[in-house]
Amino acid sequence: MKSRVLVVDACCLLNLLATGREVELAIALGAVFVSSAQARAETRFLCGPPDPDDEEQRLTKTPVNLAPLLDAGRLDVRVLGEDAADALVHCANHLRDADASAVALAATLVVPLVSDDGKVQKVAHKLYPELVVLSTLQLVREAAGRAGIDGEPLRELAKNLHERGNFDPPRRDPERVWFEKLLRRPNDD
Amino acid sequence: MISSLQLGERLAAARKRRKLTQADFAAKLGVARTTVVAMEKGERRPTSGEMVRAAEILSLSMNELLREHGVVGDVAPRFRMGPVAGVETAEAAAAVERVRKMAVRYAELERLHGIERSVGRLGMLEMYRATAAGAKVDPRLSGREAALTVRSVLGLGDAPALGLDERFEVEAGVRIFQPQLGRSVAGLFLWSDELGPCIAVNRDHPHERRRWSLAHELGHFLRDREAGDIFPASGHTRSDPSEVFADAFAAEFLLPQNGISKQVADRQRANGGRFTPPDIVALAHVYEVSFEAMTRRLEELGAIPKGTFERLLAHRFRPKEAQEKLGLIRAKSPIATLPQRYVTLALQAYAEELISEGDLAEYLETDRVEARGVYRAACHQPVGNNGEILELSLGEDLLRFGGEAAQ
Repeated sequence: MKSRVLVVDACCLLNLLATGREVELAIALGAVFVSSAQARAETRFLCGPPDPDDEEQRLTKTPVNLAPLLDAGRLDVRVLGEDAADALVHCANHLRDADASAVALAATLVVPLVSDDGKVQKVAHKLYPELVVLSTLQLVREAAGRAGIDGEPLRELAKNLHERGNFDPPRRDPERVWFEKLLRRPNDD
Repeated sequence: MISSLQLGERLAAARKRRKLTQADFAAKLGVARTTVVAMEKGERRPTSGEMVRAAEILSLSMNELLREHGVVGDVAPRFRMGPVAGVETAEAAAAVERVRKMAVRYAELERLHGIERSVGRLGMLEMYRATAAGAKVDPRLSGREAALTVRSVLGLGDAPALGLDERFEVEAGVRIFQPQLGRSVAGLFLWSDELGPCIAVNRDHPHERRRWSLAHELGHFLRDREAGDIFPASGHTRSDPSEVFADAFAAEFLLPQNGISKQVADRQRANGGRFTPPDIVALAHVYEVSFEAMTRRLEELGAIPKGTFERLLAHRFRPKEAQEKLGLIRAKSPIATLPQRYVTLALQAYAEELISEGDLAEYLETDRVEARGVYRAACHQPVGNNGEILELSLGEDLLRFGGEAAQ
């Protein structure tokens, strides 16, 4: 079966890694995530547990680990070629190179772009109105449904995304309410 | 999209910063020199492939070359400073470039928000030119006069000059940064038409030293802003009129003669005519300067005999221990590299989707996840005791509440 190709920007790649279940999600979606080399370079840290010696219990930073995704063949990091130069320059008028390269890659490959960044989404819509733009939460919800992840494991995944990725969904995210509900304990309601 | 002329100017500025001739740049780009000339004049826009290669050659991102709110912020032509005694040349160059970049980003953030540099309440500081007023005057005297003028504008009277960073930022448009500047640099001042006045003080230095460096650089701003300045961490020469002016300005600005004289008289009255080392420690604490700076100023003003500082050190007087015994140790507070106004502008720009998360991280000089944390901390306000969070809209213009401009 042909894999579903999804271009992820740095913001989304970080979020997927923060879930701690990125490979499982990719498999459930039947997807290969494609990232530009520039976006990959900006995907550097997640929040780690506090240093036990730190009196203020500040969170530490943990370097990201892409090896599980790469080893599973679920992440393809690409350097944009000459064929994408026009698109790249077109996008770089409005976006930093890491973000521009993600939009240019999606536009060149004609595949959906996954981003949670308001500015990236806005520019992508403006420059490529036909481009499908998804959010990490849309992917997570779809993948969780397919893989049968629910209840406490799903809440744990959302909590990881929120805490390890410092992630708060943008106001416009269609799955924002779903995510916020997930984060609340069952007896909070 | 920026014009071909703007793009050409940015290419030329970046090429010059990299110290490449047009011929060198053309060779690396694989085009004729005349093509580079045409590009820099805005007569020929680079192709996409050339843009990608040009950015690589110039060690810039394409977005830096192309973005509408981009600022060139070249200070090099004005920064005609030769080697500075006591300062490592490479360290100085790195410090200047670091501060230039921070100032460029600051100006970009203002441009993004449509803010133009304008004369604020302290705008007269920008008009004030000590050289024009007193080219033939002893720099020590004109430095003191400038300090009196600035103190008067600030309405300080004889009081200590405290917590002024924000006032200089907001009311006088001086950009003030506190980055690490290396071992040999205490502070620096740079200026350009595009960036305005920019001061950086070394965050690795104690609070009191940073205040002195800031005041010293303000002196350069008032006297010889086009020249720029690098203030060595130690052993800088004081014979140059511009340095004498800046030191005299700093001394009178931070330690005003009238205020200090009154304080000394008050203490003598209270101590039965005596004036002791702990009195100097206490005064240094009040004025937020180092023990050495206060002692030397008191010597200069004739309040204590010349050579007192050396004599006290020879007698193993330890100012730190005295501070501890007198309970005058200043609580350590976090040092912000970037001005609060800068950080607020960056967070608002992100909230308004004028910049991306990656941009925010770059503006805040951090990585994406930490930038998210800073944003969350700025706009999430705990309410009550049940963990409820109020989300503030950082981009909301309260003057336009309800869609109508406030009168």
